[in-house]
Amino acid sequence: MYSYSPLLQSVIQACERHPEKTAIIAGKEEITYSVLCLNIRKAATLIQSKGFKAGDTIMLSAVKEPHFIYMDFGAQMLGVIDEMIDPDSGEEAFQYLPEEIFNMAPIEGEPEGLKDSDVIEILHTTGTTSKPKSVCLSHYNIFWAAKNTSDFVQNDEEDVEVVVMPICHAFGLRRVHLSLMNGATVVLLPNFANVQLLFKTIEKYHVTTFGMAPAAWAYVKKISGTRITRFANQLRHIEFGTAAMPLAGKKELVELLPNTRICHNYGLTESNRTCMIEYHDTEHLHSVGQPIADNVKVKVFDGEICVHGNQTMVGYLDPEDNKDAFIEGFFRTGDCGYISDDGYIYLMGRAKEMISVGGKKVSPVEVEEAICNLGVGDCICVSHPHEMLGETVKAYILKGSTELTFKQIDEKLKSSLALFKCPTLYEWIDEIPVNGLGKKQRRALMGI
Amino acid sequence: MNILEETKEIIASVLKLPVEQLDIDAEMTDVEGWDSLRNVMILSQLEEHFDIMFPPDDIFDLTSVKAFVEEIEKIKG
Repeated sequence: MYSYSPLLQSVIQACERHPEKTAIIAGKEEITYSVLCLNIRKAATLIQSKGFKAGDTIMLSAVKEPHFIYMDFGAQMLGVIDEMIDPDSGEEAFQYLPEEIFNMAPIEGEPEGLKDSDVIEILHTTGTTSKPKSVCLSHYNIFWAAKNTSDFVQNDEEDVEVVVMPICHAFGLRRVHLSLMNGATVVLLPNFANVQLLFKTIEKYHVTTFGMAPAAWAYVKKISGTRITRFANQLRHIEFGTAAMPLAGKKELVELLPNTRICHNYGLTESNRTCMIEYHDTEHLHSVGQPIADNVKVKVFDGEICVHGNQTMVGYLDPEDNKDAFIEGFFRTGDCGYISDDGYIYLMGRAKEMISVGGKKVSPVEVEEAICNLGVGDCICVSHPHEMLGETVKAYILKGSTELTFKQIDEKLKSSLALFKCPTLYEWIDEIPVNGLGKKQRRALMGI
Repeated sequence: MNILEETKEIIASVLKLPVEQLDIDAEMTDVEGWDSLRNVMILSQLEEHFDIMFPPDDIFDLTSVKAFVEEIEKIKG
């Protein structure tokens, strides 16, 4: 059954292995695998009863509730493309009441003629560097995105995952998918705000794994200090994603959790998890690691990181966006970087954000790191038009995050950075613009 | 100074909620919109307004309006 959807097949196989095991915990509700699969089939009936058929698109508000998970897999069962809507975006999604699912009879049989190469999921990019795009992923893509991640982090059915990240984006959604395909247990929490609740949840359900963004870790650390060490012998792995972690943060985590596999993914919505670095691989912490699996290939074309693999998208929804999206079958990430002799991938910044100072390329990330290394709490660097040089670097320094003056920063920087990389303009900023996933929004400061 | 009322007002304004909707006993997780970003704003606005610093060891326990009020009362003596 469901040979077109290896992800759905895996969840059903997990149900056959242990139907009474808990699949999802949400608040006081505990849902077994048999109930999960039953409700997926009921959700499929609901979707079908509303007139959707294979190849149609249903816009689902990706709320972190069990009924969304039923609808997500129910749509996959029918071959109905699930377009994920951020519940906070205010965009209109398909309206239903959870009770409507429960009142349906479970669907029987499966549609004919579906293939694993059919598009089944549409995700919206966060628009870090350009306008948001709609990314089309096939059954095959979403299965391998979850499978590659699961294999790398070594997740298995004994694991208990607490999902705190939003699930309208690939990072959180794949954490749900990979846990359920393995027959593990997923605990849903709304957000990271109440760190005490997070820790109580980790303790109560003997949580072994979770995913988080570096910004979320910064928050958890601010609120809880080093209390996470209580779980040092319990947490099997943590996956970081969505943005880079400063080197000091990586080292600190290794010290706090010496027995936990701490992995950091690099990838875009289009290419899913592409590379992984494990923080205990201390020799390569400046890199984003190596390709996550043998089926993922990374090549550098003219300085740009490009990706080919089972998890790489079919294409963008808008044909206009597909122009220049691929080169020789490899997806162009827009990130600049190189591959070292020992096969590790190093990023130099976003291709579209690189600052061209008199023709020489400057990565804003490199300058920001150099400034932060001087004892500045945070900053953001962008391109600034210059009459002679074309562009120069402008640095916005987070107000109140340093005792240093602009003059002192400038003087110190000139001893650690090549002159053309040093900012020519400084300005205080009250808040570093970041998107919902904690990524710096440089374009917001460039008037784009 | 009425610590309870002023704390409620600040928290409600960060969360963009009418102050009368804010239940003093509610855990932050049960209050719509009280996410980590807004919690950071609440912490910093309360510190600025009352001219205090929450001890790092206590922040972990500030999970409801009531907990914030009691903590500020404790600091202000």
